[in-house]
Amino acid sequence: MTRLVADVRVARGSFDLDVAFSLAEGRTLAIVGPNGAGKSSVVGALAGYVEVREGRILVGDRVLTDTAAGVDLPMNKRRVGVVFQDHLLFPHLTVLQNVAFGPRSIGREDATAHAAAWLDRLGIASLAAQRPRQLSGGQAQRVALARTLAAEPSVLVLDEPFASLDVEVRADVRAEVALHLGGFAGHTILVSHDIDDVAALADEVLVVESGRVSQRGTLAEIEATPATAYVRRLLSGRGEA
Amino acid sequence: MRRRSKTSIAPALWIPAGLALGLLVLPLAGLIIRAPWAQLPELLSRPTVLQALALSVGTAGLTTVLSLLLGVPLAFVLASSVDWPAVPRRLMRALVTVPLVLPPVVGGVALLLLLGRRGLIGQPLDDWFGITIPFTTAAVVIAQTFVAMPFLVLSVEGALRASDRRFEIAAGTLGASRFTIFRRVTLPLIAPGIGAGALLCFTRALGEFGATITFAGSFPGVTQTLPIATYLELQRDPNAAIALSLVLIVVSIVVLVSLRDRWTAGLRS
Amino acid sequence: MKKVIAIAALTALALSGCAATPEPAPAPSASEDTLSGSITVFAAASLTESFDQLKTEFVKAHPNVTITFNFGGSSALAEQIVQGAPVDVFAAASPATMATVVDASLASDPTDFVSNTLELAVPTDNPAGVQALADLENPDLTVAFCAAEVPCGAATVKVLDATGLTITPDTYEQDVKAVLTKVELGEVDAGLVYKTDVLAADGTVLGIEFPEASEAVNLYPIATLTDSQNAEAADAFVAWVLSPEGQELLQTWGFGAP
Repeated sequence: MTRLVADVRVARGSFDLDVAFSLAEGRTLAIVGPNGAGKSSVVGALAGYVEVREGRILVGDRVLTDTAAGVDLPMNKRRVGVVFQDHLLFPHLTVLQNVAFGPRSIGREDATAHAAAWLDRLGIASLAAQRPRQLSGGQAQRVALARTLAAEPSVLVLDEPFASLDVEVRADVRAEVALHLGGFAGHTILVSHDIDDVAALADEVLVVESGRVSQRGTLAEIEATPATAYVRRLLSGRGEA
Repeated sequence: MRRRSKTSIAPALWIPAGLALGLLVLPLAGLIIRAPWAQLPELLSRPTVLQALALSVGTAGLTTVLSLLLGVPLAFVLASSVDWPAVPRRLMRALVTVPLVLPPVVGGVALLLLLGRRGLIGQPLDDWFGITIPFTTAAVVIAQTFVAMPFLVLSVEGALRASDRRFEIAAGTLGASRFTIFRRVTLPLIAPGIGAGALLCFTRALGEFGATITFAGSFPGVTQTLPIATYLELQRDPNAAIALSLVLIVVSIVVLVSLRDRWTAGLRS
Repeated sequence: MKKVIAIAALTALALSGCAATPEPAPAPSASEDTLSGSITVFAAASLTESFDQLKTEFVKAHPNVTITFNFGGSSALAEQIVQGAPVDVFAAASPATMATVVDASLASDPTDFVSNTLELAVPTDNPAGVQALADLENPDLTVAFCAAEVPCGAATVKVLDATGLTITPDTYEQDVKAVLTKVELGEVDAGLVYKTDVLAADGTVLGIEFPEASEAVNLYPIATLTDSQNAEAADAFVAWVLSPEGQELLQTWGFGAP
């Protein structure tokens, strides 16, 4: 049983982030909070592109970050995959090349076949030869998910993955992602400010406000006893998106 | 019936725009009209002309390669200087821009004082290794690189600043090492900027005169590039000078046309 | 009171004595200062220092005249005149370059006013130990010549033809001053320039005369341009150059009689 353990202090402009959480494998933790609360800094700290001032991040017995011991694995060694809000698909590569990028970077010989299999799995094999600028928002996010999963990360982070999508498309993409998360064996972190995302995808919820954890629990627990005004507002938005 | 789009430009703009176009185009038209077309084949097949052309194209090509090898890394350094404190940042930018604002002859004099036989570096080079740089083809390349490389550096730096660095982060999370990111993400994304910069560098090097003649001198086949040959011919046989000028124009146009639109688009960034 | 006048008178006497600074030649008579306006003079590069001094003297006699010089390779200057540059006087380093202007009907009746011979110039420490023209045949030497298109280059070609020497320089410069600069900077071991340039260099180069120089003596013609906007002043300047005093001044700079 490998747990993802994070206990970090990150320096930010307005206020420091100070959060700690752990997550069992195969489970999805939703990190929610108002804009500017520090959710993106958590993503950055996990992925390795935001500096951790003090703290530790471990996946099982693999140490990603440990400031006391002076350990800070570079991004490409951490196996933390991120699906970004703006998908960030490489504009100069085709969809297939984008998805094959991860496997190729670590030297897999069957990278292209592996990528094609992932496109199949997500039902977007027909897009293989297209360029990102030709895709719709929903299609692009599906490709982004395929690209991240094809790199076989041990931690999957979804950073506001549906925020840029139209309302009509959001529910469909969300349902598909739910399907694939079910089959993902590692740890999943979902960052969102939308309670419907949480309801559809998460097992547990971490509420971050002003850089601090204000509540932790399952959705049912949070609904039963909302700890702050923000949580109450968040819950009331259910079903609106 | 054609609809006039609401965003088309005001007709009055065509007056100064037309003048500008005229200023740029009419001198070339004058050259083409007054060219001694009948004598052109004979004038152009003279060995001195072919020599000067080969030398110009060859040295400009070498200059572009050298500028790419040295200038692209410098562009990266310059682009990263946004994080530096003000004084070193401005100093770095000024140093890179200096050759652009310096009269080329002044550049040639500066090169002489540095790399000439009695120069700061040139004298030890001569005393210890017997290497002299002026009056060699290498000197031509050095002079051209001095004046042309900044174009490439600034073009690439512009492309770097305009590119989204988050692509590099995304590539990192996918497992790519820093070198792989540079090779497969950063470089392809700034390729139009590199292309435009290389184009500017080549054509500037091709037309370079003042720094070359001051630092490298003028000797047929070794240092007498096409612009220098044209200037000397002008004093003896203006028709030959016109012929050489046409050659320079044609070479420049060929270079411009053979590069695609998307590379000159990089000139806008 | 008498004492003050006496002191004033003595002071005036003393001052007038100091005013007589050594001059090479008396200026043209100051009664001719009816001339005014400006004139542009194009002159061969080798005339730079001598003509600057001629101008100083001329302006003393004609304080209302301004003279603007453009020095350069005679052939380049001739070409500029033919292309329409507004010039009043042209002083060329060879009859051939003057002929370009005459043939374009822009000048007539040029007069030869000086002659010039070539001289070897080497850096002051003579690093290559040059002693005679034939030494330049050594391929290891770095040598600068004027390009054949300019008068000093034409003279160089004549001299080489006359002596039968084969000298391949490392660079052909576009005017004689450029050759001189390369020698001054020590970039070349030797260059062929005019005697006058060696004199004007005032010790920054070492001059070595060679007998074969007499094979190619350059005659310098001067003429007023037909389109001159100030022919009166232009003619006066030419007359000054040709006058005995002007000639004496030119010869102190190393020029020969025409």
